Amino acid sequence: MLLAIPTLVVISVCVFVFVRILPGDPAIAMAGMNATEQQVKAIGEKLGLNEPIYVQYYIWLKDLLTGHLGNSIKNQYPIAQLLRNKLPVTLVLTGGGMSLAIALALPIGLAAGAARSGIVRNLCTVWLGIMYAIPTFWLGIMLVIMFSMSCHCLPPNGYVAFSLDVGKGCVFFVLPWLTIAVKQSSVIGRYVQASYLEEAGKDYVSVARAKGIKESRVRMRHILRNALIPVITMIGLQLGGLLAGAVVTETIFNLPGLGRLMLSSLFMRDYPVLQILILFVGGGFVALNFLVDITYAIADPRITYE
Amino acid sequence: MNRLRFVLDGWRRSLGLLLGKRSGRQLLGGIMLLLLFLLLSLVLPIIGTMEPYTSHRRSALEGPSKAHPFGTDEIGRDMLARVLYGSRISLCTIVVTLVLSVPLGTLVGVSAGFLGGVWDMLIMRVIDIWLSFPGLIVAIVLVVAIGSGPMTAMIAIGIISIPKVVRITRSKTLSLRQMAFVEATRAAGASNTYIILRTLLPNIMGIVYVQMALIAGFAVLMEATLSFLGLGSTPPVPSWGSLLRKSITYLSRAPWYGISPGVFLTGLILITNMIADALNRIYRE
Repeated sequence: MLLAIPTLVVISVCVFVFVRILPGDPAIAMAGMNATEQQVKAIGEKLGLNEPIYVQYYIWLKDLLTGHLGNSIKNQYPIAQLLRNKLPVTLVLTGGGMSLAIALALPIGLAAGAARSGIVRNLCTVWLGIMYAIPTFWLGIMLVIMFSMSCHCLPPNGYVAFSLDVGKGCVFFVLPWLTIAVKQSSVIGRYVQASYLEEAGKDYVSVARAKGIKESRVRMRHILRNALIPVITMIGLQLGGLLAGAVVTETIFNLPGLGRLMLSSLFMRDYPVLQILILFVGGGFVALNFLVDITYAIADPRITYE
Repeated sequence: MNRLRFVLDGWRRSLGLLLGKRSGRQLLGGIMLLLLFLLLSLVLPIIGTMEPYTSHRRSALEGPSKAHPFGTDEIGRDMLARVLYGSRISLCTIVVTLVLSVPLGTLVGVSAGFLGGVWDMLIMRVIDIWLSFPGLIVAIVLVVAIGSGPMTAMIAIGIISIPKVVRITRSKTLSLRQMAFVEATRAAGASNTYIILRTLLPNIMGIVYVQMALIAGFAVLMEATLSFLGLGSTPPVPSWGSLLRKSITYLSRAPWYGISPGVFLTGLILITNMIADALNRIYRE
């Protein structure tokens, strides 16, 4: 558990070095095409790019820990402000999509594992298999074709801030949410199915049945409760991946979130923004793992941490 | 002659064994479909009259017709030809990814599991931190760092696949190391190299094959994702991801544009998943 902190430090070093390795000089990019060598040098000086890399890292880390995220090289916009603008979009996108996905995954996954009728089981398994193979971006495109191009009931892309109009804002999020939900529910659903089947084959289930406990109670109280514990880990990991996957979803639906910000700052060589964003995603991943461990202990009394 | 018959007989028997089980039939079916894909992408463009690069501006963005079963793109190139050519990039990505990740990953994983100690701890720390970044982000940054292009995308995908192999081979090695037959080999005086190559590896290959099939699907998906973001293959070379990227622009005028590349992409991933699933069941038994 304590490993989270050193991991974060190492991540920050990796991010810093990694981003510096990227080709292209931001000072040249900023100075423009016709700048003289002196101008470029002066800009580099101002940004602190001429210091040795460990000094740069030290300054960056000190600023970071004292809450100074710095400014974007591109337009001098404060990064904290950028995050404040873009983060809600990504959070609403992933949070909404994931909640829907869980709501879909549990019934479908359980039906695929435990339904009495073989047809339902097979149908659900095939559905999960196909949705598992479909790439998110193609699923998004297909949904746009179905809901926006054919029946014109939802906008294909765009964004209205929730602060302006909650209803309109939601309408623009319906297709992105649906895309994430269908895709993620297949990943989680398959896991639910496998986990359920594994638990159902264990000895304690036979014991419970032999004791004459009602079948529905065996399924709900005995198998399901145990089967869902590993699913928690799965959901946590998927959520972390989803933060990164926002790059793709936001590109399809033209949503102004962190993913698109990351992509654009990558192309612009906007070091400060890029570092914070990658650190943010990596840190989010570590934090989620930490949370998963804690939920684990709550869900399963057998697990204790020293 | 006798020897040949003996070999053929053995093959027939193992084929019979394979066909006797559902997982075996699934595996063979998957491999057949994969071969069909290979055939389509390699042979059709050579013998047929496919023209993925010739544009006919007058017939731009036409719907599916007899001459163009999948329609045409924005400058009147035949979509069928472009989609079929696109499978080359995907199949190529599979090969490059597997070559880059599997031998290296297996070597590192087995040695870490077998030798243990500092080496193992070091490797696992690196892997843990590596995996604390989502693969897609690492791939994107790598591609931008090396310079975007089809080859760099493939290399990046190969690199991010390494930890998957390391993890799985290491844990398998750890569990095998305790087994009696490994102890017995050691007691018989075998060297470490002998134990790793002749005793452990044959028993690990099963899960490595499963992992290879999974990585193949992952590679196809990643390549398409990178191309979709504009970081993979460069125009005019068609890849399914870049075709889908383009299709977004013409979604309202030509909805069919985005359908055929996606069907092929999903199909190929489905096939690799099917093979992985079948292999997994075969080796677990």
